[in-house]
Parts: sequence; structure tokens; C-alpha cells
Amino acid sequence: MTKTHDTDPDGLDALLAEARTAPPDALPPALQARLLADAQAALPRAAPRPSLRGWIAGALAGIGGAPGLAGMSAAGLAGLWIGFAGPGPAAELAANAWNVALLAPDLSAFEAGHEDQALLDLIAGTTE
Amino acid sequence: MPRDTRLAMTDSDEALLLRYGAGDAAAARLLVERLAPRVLRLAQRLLQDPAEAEDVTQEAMLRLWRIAPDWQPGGAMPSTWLHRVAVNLATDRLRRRRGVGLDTIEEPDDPAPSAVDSLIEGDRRRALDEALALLPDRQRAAVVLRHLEGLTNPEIAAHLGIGVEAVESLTARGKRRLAQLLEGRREELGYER
Repeated sequence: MTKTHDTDPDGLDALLAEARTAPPDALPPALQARLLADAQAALPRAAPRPSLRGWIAGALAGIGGAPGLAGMSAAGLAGLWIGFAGPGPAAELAANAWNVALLAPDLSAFEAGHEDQALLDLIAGTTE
Repeated sequence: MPRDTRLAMTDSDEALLLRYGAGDAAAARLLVERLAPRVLRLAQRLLQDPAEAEDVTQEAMLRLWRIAPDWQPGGAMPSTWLHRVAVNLATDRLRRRRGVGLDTIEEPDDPAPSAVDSLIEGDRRRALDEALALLPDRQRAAVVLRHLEGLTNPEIAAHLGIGVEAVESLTARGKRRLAQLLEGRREELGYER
């Protein structure tokens, strides 16, 4: 042990400095076990990892939750029904829907009307 | 295994504490091994009661676990923070042990000088701890906090709830008493006259 008679005549300061830097004894095993048990009990919950359940919940929320899912399901089923029970080609469907035949002019009748042709000539300013 | 999931002895206390705060239980074992022994020694030196010292150590570590999720990196070191908590807990117990404010009680008479003769350990540090145990609580706390923990006199005064001058007096008296207690073991302790 080093000591200085002038500043530390009894060597106490040197002894205190030695005690201050000395490594401590190991923990009693029972205390160490209690400390680790406390650490385990107080362990903060880790950030949750992405899971399938979480992904589904996120997707469901994105479409408006359960009502959104119900609406999407209904629309899907309706599309499926139209696909199976549809009335045929789109043109036929449109014709049925708008009843084109009733609205379109009868061109053959128009062509047969001479009075109509004369009237058209008169309007256009042409004379025979 | 990716580097960021491994624990290493070279990781700082703060890095380990942050990992624990993020839910890594394995970091706790390293922190216990690194920090708790010094806390226990500090508490034992202050309280001179193994059961109380263990209680203080357990409480201080529990507070460390609880603050881990909110720990702010770059501030106080975990070991410094933990020692301050332990000093607070131990000095609170010392104050309760006496029942009244430390500054309101007269210092008890020094223990019998012959007590040191009963020491059987030859190790210097062990002899020092045993001599510390013979000091009155206030003297021991002042000497331990000043010379073994490195606190300043104002810090010690705050911990003990007394004035700075009282701390200086306690420290001086404590050191004188320690020197007396160790005098009889000078040769055994390796001193030279």
C-alpha cells in the first residue's frame, strides 16, 4: 500500500481509495434470482410483430370495417349472379333494357313516303 | 444471427438498458451482473444490515427496470442513476432507523476501542468494512458517501437532511475514529510507521 506521511499519515486515505475501486463480491445467488425474477416481471412488452391477424384487421379497417366488408360481399355476389344468369350479349341486354326497337324510326316506312321526300326537297329549296 | 439481436459484454450499460426497455429480457441478466453487486456493497456499507441491504438493492434495481422504457439516452449513466437511487433508499432507512432527523440527535459515544480486537479478517478492505460497521450511522454514512462514493459535501448534506458543516464534522470525526479502530491492526493491514 502506498501512503504519504505528510498528507495521509495513517494510510487511511489510501485504504479508502483502494476500497473504492476494488471489485465487489458476487451477489448472493438467492438475491440474484430475485432480481432476475423482478426484471422478468417488469419486462416491457416488445413491439408486436406483424401477424396475419393484424394484417386482416388492418385490411378490414381500410374498407370501413364490418359494414364495408358486408357491402363488398353483397356487390360481389350480385356480380356473380349476373355472370351466371345474365340475359346474353351486351347488345341484346342494352336493347332489352332501353327497348331500342320501340324508339328507333322505321326507315323502310320513311323511304316509302313520297310526300315526305317532296317535303324535304321543298325545305332544301330544290325543285324538280 | 443478426448483430442487432446479440448481446455482448462490450455493450454499454445504457445500450443494455435500452434493449431491456424494448422487451429484451436477456439484457437484464448482464445488467444485474454488472450493476447490482456495487449497489449491494454500497447499501451494506451504509446500513450494516445484510437483509436491509438486499432490500435496498432489490428496490433500486426494480426502479431501474421500471424506468427503462422511458430512459433518455445521452443523460446520466445507468450506474450513476442507480447509485443515487440506492443512496436515497439507504439514507431514508437510516433516518427512519433513528426515528427523528439525523441532525437533531447528539452523536453517540464512540464504540469501545477494544471492539477492533475482535476482528478476525486479515484483509485490509475487509478490516475497513468491519471498522466502518463500528461507526455511528451518521459518521459512517458521511465517510462512505464522501470517500467511497465520491459525493460532494452538499450532495451528502441533501441526502442526509443536514447542513454542509455537519457533514464536514461527521466526515472528520468518522475518519478519526476509523484511524483509531485500524491503528491496532496497522501491522496486520500492511501499514508502515
